[in-house]
Amino acid sequence: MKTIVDLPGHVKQLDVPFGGADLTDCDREPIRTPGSIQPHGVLLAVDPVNLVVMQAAGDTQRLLGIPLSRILGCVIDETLGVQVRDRIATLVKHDQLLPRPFFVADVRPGDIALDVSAYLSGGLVVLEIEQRPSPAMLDGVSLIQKMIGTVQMAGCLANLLNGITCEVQQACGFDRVMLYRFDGDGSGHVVAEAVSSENIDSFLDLHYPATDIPAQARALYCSCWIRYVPDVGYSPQRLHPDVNPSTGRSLDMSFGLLRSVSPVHLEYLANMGVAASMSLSIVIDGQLWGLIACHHQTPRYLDCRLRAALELFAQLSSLQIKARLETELAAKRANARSISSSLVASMTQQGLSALLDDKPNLLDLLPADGVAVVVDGVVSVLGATPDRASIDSLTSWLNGTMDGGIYSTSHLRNACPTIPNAQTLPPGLLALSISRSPSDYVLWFLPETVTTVKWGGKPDKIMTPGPLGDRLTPRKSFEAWVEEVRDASRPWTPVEIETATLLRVSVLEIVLKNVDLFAREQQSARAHQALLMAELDHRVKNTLATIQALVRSSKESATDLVEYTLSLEGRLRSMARTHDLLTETHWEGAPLRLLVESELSAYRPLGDPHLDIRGDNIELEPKAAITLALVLHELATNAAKYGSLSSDDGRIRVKWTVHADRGTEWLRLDWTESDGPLVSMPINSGFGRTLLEKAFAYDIRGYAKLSFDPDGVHCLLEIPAGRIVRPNRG
Amino acid sequence: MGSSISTALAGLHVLLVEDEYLQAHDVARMLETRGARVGGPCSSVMEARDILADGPVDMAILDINLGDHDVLSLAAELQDSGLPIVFLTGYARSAIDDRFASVPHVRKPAEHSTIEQALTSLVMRSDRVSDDRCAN
Repeated sequence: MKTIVDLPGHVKQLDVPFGGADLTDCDREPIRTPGSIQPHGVLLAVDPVNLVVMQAAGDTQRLLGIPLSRILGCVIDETLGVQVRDRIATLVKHDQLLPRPFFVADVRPGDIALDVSAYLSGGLVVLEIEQRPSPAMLDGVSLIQKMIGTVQMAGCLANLLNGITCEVQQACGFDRVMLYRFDGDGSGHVVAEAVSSENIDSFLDLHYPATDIPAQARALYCSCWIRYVPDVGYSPQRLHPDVNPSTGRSLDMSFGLLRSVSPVHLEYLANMGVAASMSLSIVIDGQLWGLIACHHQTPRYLDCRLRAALELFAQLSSLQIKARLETELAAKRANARSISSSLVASMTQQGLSALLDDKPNLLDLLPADGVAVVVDGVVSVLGATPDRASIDSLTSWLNGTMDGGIYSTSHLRNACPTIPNAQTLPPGLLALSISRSPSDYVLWFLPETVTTVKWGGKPDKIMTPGPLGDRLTPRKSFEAWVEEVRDASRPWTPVEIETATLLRVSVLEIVLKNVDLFAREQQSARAHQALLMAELDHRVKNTLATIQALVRSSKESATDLVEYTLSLEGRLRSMARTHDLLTETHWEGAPLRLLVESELSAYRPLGDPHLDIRGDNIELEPKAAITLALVLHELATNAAKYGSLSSDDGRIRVKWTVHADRGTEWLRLDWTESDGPLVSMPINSGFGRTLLEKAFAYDIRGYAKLSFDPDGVHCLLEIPAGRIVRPNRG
Repeated sequence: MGSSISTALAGLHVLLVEDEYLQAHDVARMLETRGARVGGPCSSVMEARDILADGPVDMAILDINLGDHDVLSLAAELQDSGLPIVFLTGYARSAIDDRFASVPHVRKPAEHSTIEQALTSLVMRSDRVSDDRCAN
């Protein structure tokens, strides 16, 4: 049943949780505000001021021993006890709750052991209470270390992805764990899989179209790293009352662990014979790169701490994947350059025929089905190409079409419908013009994607499709995807286009310029390229080693998994931000102002009058930038917990100058907190202190002094001015 | 010497040159739990030379950086003097000069057990050399 209330001037709203969505509705479903939860837990939305329950959902009688009607309007100590109430009150007071839930307490108000997680949404504190499965998880930190230790040894990307699925499968015990990778067009492809036994159907190499995961779900998955449905056949539990009684707004459960999911998604899972599902996001540079999807044939409940561990593992895996992708991209580029150089060298001696006859040839440079070289109307070919007549009509069409030296398409049949037999041409074409007037060409051809796809899939088992029909099955998804990519080749990659462009420059240069001089330049460019590659490779491996050391040493100071996860995530994010800043300058330096701002902006908007950031525009060399950013991160985290960022009135001033002292020039940075709570607590984490006092001196020969003045924390940091690479541009 | 520690590294004095604190600290702690005594860790060749001047070491772990010729010349000197050394580095073997072809190479990121194995096989090798000398 679907009822749509049409409010003038408002967006259409479904008045029943999820309504009766159909496939075309997917992009409009209220997935962030479903108005209901899954029944394996209880949700209490609580006023942060008086801790009174404003909204509730779930079987409170079973888990808490009290009917839902008696919980609404009451303070939470009546249901969860004084201990949980005090814990929540403390978290609220210190502003430590986040929009993402984390584990806050365990409690046993009746016969059932419960885990309580909490997050902030729409001005309310949302408590999610789940029964703890037994046996409880033992040591999440060791588990993550074992998992990440195993996968980071993988040499190539394929091994890494296989390793990730195997580790997740072993840790969660689901029957099937798949890793989807998304292509540029949003379609998905199962690139790795681990199953619990041979009886489980394989989905390896399955493809499905972009529409199988609606755009709004993709956006949500980028910020929310885990989804979990322990029992696909569940009955949603409505939220009472359905909106916040004081604001009239629906509860945003985007990050909630208990969030009820789309019925379309549930039907898809049920059609596959899946009874429990969990998915983890792989996010790279802010984009949803892939998903780890876990399926089980029977309902399956996981400890919330195990899920937190898997979520952290997915984040660490994303970093590992990113490093491998960068390495592989760089290797491809270097390989293309080296083939290109030898092609150019043999072409210099033997002319254009060397492009096809020698080893390496044009197909080694750009792997394709076939390649044709057309010079003065003479066609030479290698591999699978269209016949001469088709190539002739293609080049006449290109003469009138090409604008610039290069043309690429993966939909050639649609692009040139007018030429004879267009439907028999291969759909992928990369054309290079290699003369001044467009008449001579190099043409590479790619076949239809569907001819190169491996997944056959098993015929679907006999089953009764759900009310939306049989479209929601892997077989039908695959067919839909095949329809979408019919008449298309795989897309040409940016590296391929770049390689072809460079080759064109070389070919033209040979024709147009002094050959000897050019060869010498090529030679020195090659040597330079090799050095750059070795340095890039070294940087990636060294960064992975630092992450490894960070994963190990963060454990020393953490008291529990939640703290370990939050602090490690924070440090990794800080490191990633610095890397982003450095990437923008090709690893020459990072602007000091941006380093300071990026750490503080997590807690206060920039421009906030309580923040005072001042100093000359200077850039720091990479090593100093990375270490200083980690130190600033510890100072900011500490200020948010105990210092001036923990109160509304608190102020922070960060000021830097360059001055001469002890015979050398120093960059002096003062971090001064004031108007915060009375300072008594020393910097909390042993790790933070170690970074400040030891790593700072060890890594960059700096000097740090931390003092706890009654007005607030003061930290003096001195860095040798030799670490400044240059005044900041602009 | 602590009799509870029975690893091949127990009692050895190992020089550790690594310019990142987190990594240096991590490897140093691993060596200490295996019973070795760590010289350093230090982040510069100058400090490394000070440690060597203070007294003999049994082996050295060096993070080499191709941009820093000092580390490479230190490595060459140590190799010539017969001191067993291991490279612990992010560089691929192929990026390192052929004159160090016989130096064991552990690629970062490395498990503790991999580093330990590389050191252990060095200990075995140098023990064999000393035994041969005795036989002569």
